[in-house]
Amino acid sequence: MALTFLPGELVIESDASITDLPAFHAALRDWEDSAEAAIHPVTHSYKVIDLGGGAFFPAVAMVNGWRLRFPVAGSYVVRGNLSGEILLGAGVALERQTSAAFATTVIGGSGPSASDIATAVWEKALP
Amino acid sequence: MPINASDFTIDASGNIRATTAFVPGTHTRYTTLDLHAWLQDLADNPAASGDDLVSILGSNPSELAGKRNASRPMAVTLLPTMNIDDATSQWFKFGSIEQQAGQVLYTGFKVLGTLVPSSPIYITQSNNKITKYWQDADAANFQILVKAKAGGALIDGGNITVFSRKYGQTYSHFDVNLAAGGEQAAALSTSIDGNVSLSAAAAQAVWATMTVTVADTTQDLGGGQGAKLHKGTITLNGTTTLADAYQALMWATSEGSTATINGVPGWRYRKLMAGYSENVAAPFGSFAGGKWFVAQGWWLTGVMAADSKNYQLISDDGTVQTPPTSVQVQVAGLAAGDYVLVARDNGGGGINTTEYLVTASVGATSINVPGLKSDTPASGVIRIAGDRYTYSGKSGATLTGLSPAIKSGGYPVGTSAFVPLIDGVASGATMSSAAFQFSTPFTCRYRVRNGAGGTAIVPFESTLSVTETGGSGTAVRNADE
Repeated sequence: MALTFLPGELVIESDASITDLPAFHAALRDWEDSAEAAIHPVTHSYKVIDLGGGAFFPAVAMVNGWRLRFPVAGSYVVRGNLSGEILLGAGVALERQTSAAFATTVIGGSGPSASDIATAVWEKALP
Repeated sequence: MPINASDFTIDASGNIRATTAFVPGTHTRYTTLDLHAWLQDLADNPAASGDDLVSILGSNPSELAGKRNASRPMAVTLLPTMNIDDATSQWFKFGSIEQQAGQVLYTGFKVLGTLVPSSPIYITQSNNKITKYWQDADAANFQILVKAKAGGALIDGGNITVFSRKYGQTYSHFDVNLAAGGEQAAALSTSIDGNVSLSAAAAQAVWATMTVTVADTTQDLGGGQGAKLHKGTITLNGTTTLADAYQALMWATSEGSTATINGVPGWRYRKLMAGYSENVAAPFGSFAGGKWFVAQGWWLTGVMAADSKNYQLISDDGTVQTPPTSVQVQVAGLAAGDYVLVARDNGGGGINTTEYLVTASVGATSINVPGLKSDTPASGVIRIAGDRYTYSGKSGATLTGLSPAIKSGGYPVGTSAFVPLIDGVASGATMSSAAFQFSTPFTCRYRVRNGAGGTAIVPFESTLSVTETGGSGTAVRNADE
């Protein structure tokens, strides 16, 4: 996933699907602390809710007028809780997959696998 | 107090003369009413006798002229040939004596006000000091006669100026016109000058190191008031404190001074230009709280660095000029690697990125910034259309030493630019701007960001006020989950 920032338009262009929201967040933050970006408002807010058992709930909200765009025609997926405007150009098909319980990421180690969650549920003592 | 006849003689020609010179502190002045009463007492004698040749056989020697009131308590006219001379006039006070058909007038004069005991008083007439026939102790109850008219003409228009300028005290002077006769008053006020610690000799020695010249000079003190016309320059030698310079100038304008200022003896120097307000207590400006409030029109140079803020000037047009105040902006609560940006707030929740409109050519290493603020740091960063350039110098409205050189394509006329106070990566817990000259308060917006893995923080943004003491803000570094 390569991101291109167009601060004059408040647009962030991605050349690939966004399937790892924490990684997307980290990429945005990495740009925000650059000399180029320092004079512009931040792109997003980020929140993580710990669901317990290793599950967490990340959420990215585009702020200050920033928008996401896929400039190259094709099919894309945005996986996770990303709110904000997404600009769809000609020939762009977008599927948005929101997660209510967990996400997996390469950022900060790893998220729980489906097996981990199943085990956690199985071992949960009933009241 | 009745006149002691032995103090005076009156000859057949009407010449009233003191038998001895008046000695302040030894003799007591008579009032002009005492003189009139004595003459009238003599005039009813059946025949002249002794050395006071007045009797009923001659003409009336005197009369009280005009209406008596507070400003004209007594006005004696000597008739027809009766007269006193200058030495004899020193024996009298309270009211005036007119003689020789109005050709000669001695006017009474008194001093009112609160004076340091025995404050010396001197009087100038036609720009010269009148030889004193009074003593310092008379200050508490100063009443004399001053010759106002001779040969039918008022002396200097009847004007005198009364001074009290004792080194070590605050000064005072008052202009009086004696033409109306009677008794005229001058209001004086003196006090001990707590800013004087040098002896008169030491102050005179400091004066010798100074130069005071009168000539137009247009100067910018750097305090934000711009270049202003001054009519004279006080030049210090770079090692003289302002406190000492003040004392030297007080000595130079004291009664005993031998200094000359623009051709005027220091003892009667009052102000640089006729239209200026006077600093009566201190002709070159007062000194208070460790600060010299220099009199209008003077430019001051050669000031020690330690005194660089301890004075203010008033230009020819009346503008108060203050020395520049060097301040900095600092952001605390940082960690190495944080990117910090401090720039002027736009009032709408953002940074003012359109502070200036500029143009620049490719490869240029300097840029003219029309309207460049006086409180711009001497080195720092300029953002042109968002692009970051450092600069190493400032000359007028030009920033020099741009790095990198202006990029390919340059910038067209009207390109937005601004000068952040801080724009870079922190190397420690605090980050400060280069020093700049404070002009007027303003608000800055500051941002602290760090998106590096492991040390990422939630971007922090706030505002801080820049005042004459500078500005500071503290970042709140919350981990970015």
